[in-house]
Amino acid sequence: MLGFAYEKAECLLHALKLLESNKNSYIYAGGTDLLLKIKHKQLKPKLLIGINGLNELSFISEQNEGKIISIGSLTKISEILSEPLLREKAPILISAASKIGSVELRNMGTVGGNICNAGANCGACGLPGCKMMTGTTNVKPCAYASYSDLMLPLLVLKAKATICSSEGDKNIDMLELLSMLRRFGIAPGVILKEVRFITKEGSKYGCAYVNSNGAMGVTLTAVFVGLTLNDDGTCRDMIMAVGGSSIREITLISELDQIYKNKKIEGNVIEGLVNAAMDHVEFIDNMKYSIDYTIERTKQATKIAIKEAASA
Amino acid sequence: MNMKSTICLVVNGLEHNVEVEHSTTLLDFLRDRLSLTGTKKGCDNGDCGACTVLLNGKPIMSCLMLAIDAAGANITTIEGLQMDNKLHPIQRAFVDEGAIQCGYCTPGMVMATKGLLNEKRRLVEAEIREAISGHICRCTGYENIVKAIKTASVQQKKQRRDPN
Repeated sequence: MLGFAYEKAECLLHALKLLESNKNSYIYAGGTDLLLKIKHKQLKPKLLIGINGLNELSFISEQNEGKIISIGSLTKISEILSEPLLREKAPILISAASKIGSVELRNMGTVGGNICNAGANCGACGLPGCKMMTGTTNVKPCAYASYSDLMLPLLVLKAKATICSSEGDKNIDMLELLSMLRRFGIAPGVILKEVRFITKEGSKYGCAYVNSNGAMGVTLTAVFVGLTLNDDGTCRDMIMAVGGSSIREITLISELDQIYKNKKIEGNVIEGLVNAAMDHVEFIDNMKYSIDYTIERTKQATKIAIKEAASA
Repeated sequence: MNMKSTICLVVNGLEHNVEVEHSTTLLDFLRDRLSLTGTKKGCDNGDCGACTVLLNGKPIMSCLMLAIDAAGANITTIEGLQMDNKLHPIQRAFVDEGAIQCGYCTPGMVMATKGLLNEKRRLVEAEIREAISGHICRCTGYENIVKAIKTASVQQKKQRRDPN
């Protein structure tokens, strides 16, 4: 690897000062995405700022008797999987976390690192002909550029994020955070501190994946659905997030109320929702999969996710 | 900007105080500085699992970690598993079940198994396959590896019941 310096931050403030005073510096947490990009010469940092060990960013906590759940950005993915609170209150987060890499990578990777790499994670697929693997920087990511695994469920949970910079802390929603993500992490000078969401009674969730192959395969399409039901079992609110399949990292769909409002989510309503959702996704093909296949797999995944949410 | 630092870490029970370049991975540090070449460099990309070691008892990919970030940690490599110059029960199980051909993936597989058995007493096959899902073996087809891990798990249970 090309040489760079490393400095361990003593606290969050120290990390921010180092970020500000050193151009071409990056936060090093789990390091699994960052070191890959450095090895592939997509990144040539001068300084890595180590934040592992900052306990102020490593936690899973609840407030208001479990109604608000907060997760620090340095929480390991493996810690998400073993947290009983999340198993009870946010099983779709567990589902997403379980799909990330392998046991080893989940022991190393962090929640913040996974979220902040939603921008583009391509070049690591190793597919033949992948120009990103050669270190070329003027090539667009192909559809294997995977989105953040955790961003989808967090969007459907309507989570908020706290970021910090030299200007202080700021609370933003996940869509705004998504807009701040760059090709190699979050906007300069910014550190993601935590994400949190409200757990609502009567909310139901479902998800579906299409993976290329096995644990270390690429997720081609993932769909997450959140429903809020009325007392009579009809649908009051629905939100859907589609990852992969599209020119955009993530497609968030929430304007389908004409189809679901005050209706039971079954039969023709599901078909209508699936077809309407597909109109919101800007499909692309890539080196391996045709656009027709991409559309079909997304449709099927969407149907499964909606059905899972409806029967949860 | 300074690009080297002295770190202190424990590897296989021995404390080391060593100067490292900041950009050295834990894998290269173990192999090149400490001559612990049992841990293999396969893909160097976090895909194959050959570089797996235990960090504070948990399996990690040493090719995707900086040595400097392991300062203060307790590292176990494949060399650290042997007991009084005898094979560890996991290693014995791999040998007995024919789970080794070229042997290149084996240290990583064994360390992943150790990490799994550190956490779980009872194993179902799905958990075994999940534990080795980040490991590539070109030789064995994985079946004997799964058998070996099951055998190791049974041996561990027996040993816990009757340590003598």
